[in-house]
Amino acid sequence: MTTSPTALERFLNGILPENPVYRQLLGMCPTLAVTAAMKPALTMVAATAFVLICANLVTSVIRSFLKPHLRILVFTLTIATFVTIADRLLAAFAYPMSQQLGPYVPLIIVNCMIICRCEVCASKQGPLTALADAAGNSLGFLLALGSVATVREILGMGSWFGLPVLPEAFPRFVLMVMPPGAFLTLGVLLAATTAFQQLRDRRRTPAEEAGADSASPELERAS
Amino acid sequence: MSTERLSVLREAWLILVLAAGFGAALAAVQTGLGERIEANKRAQTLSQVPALVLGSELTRDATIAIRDGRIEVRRAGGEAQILEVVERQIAGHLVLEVRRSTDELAGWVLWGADQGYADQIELLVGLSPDGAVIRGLYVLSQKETPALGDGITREEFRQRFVGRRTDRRLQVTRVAEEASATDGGILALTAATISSRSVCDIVNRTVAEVKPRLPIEEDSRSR
Repeated sequence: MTTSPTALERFLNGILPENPVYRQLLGMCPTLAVTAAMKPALTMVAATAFVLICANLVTSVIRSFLKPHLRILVFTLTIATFVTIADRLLAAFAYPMSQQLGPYVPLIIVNCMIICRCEVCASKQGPLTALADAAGNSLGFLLALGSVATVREILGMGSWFGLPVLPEAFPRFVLMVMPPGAFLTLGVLLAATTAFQQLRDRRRTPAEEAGADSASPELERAS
Repeated sequence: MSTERLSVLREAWLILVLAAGFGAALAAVQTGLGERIEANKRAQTLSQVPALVLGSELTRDATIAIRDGRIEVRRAGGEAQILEVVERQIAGHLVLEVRRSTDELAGWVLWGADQGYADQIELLVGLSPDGAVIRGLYVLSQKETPALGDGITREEFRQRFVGRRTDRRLQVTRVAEEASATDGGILALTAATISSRSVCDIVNRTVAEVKPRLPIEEDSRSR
């Protein structure tokens, strides 16, 4: 019988070992669409984190009442509610950004990362673990979107958070802020993280290897 | 009550309770933030008024300040131009009557909305003082397909409406030659004909419903 990961393990797993974007390839739509600059990318991360934390908490609290065949309906209902609240909050307090993000905030409803965390963790474990899991995955999502947006904004516009970081003479690669630039950047960063992971795996001792294997079935189920 | 109905209620009680709770939460959020969101929309509408009635060429590099319904348009090195806006409701549309500080009528801005491909599209249509020519078009809100239908917000597409006469019905065409050969031909966005047609239909209907009821002054008819 396998034991469920603790709150700390859930938190740490979400950041790097089970990073939603680089390790599970979830949440690809916002990763490709809103990372032309840091500001929209971070706003998207904040909205997604809000929805993920709230949905995980609610799902965890009601988990004992969940019927297996109705659970996806409950997840969708919960996620849609918090996405609508996030959308309204953005429209009220960050209207220009809400206009800039357009349909991508409502599209959080179909972000597989959130439904995956509700299914894998929140519907099986207590609120504290669900909260830690949501926080860890939000940080992992921040790491992923932040890294893609950093590369694209610096190379494409020569700035970071709108502040110039490259000298005027340095050429701007406009392609990087266009959709192909998103695919290129994600592809290169994905290859780099996978290569880094493989390098680490080769250096692991047999004991560490056994420990890593025990976590992998869940990662595979989730993805 | 039959056993079958009782069984359905036993199955659905959680969904019903959640739906009622979430519905109440969403109603509370909308009540609390609705006014603020509307104020943001109004500020955005007013900021577009100069470009919609004076033309985007005249306002491209201008600084726009809004105070108490008065809009100050200041071009670099030029004198400030004050526009005063009076709101009207005509045939269910918000209509802005725009006057210069000399009380001369500068033009009209009409609000129109209808279903697009994905969701409702809201537009602002700028008309000349006599209502005969379209001076500008702005997409206030839309949730069309990213990278396809959302091209309706791009200036390149919106400019296709500028200078068109309002006494002719606009019609979407997929052939560039047809668009330039006919008075009312509007070249559709590639792979987004439905979004393009929706914009055209909203402009046609808004102009048809509002223009005959505009209190157009005699002297502006000849302008």
